[in-house]
Amino acid sequence: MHKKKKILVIDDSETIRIHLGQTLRDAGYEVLEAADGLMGAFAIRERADDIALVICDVNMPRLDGVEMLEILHGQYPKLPVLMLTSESRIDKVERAKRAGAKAWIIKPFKPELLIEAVHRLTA
Amino acid sequence: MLGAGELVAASVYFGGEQIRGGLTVCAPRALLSRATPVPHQSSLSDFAREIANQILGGLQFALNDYDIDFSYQFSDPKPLPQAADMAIDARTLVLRSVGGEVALIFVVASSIELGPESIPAPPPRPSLARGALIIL
Repeated sequence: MHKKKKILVIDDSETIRIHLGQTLRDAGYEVLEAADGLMGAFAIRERADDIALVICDVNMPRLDGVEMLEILHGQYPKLPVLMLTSESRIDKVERAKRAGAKAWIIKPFKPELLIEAVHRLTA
Repeated sequence: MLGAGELVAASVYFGGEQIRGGLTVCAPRALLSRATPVPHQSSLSDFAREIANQILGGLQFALNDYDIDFSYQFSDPKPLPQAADMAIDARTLVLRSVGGEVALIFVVASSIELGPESIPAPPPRPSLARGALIIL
């Protein structure tokens, strides 16, 4: 039986987590959720071998997405990370790139573009 | 303004060297219930906060061209001494549609003069585009 790829969605907005979760499930993926960078880091440490892609917001309370990547930097080089955020500062983009992020989408986004990116990053 | 019925509001704060403040989005619950991409959503204030978040993202994106920068803040803002060259302003923008009204309430302290005569020509836009996939 074909095993669904798992995607970890890290976003402090419940609206975004539910919307993304439904969009990704409709596209055939299994979805895990975390509500901020700290919970996201715990989820990655526990299940990195099981996760095909991380979709991560940047501006979140407690630990933001870029800080989370910097903490995890180098530990999971094969785990692709897509930043999905309203943040557009170049310095943040460059920090995320140095910390291992593979792609960046600035909200608002079209679901079909996101799914295209997910297919590409999990291929 | 905004009509009868229960209202939902949410705020996002922001801060930078030249500009700081808050944006509150306020709308009727019925309107947000129809607009949310998540059916039967329990927390419409979360949806209103995400709207504020994305509006501030657009503002940040536009101000990038003028080297004006700010960060998002998630806790209630701490009182800061007002910089001598900062002016405070508050504006409410009401967006009207057939389905109802949404109020955007900006409170801003800023040292920027955004009059047409004071705005320099923007440098070339960086290679970021809203809604596009950027491979790093």
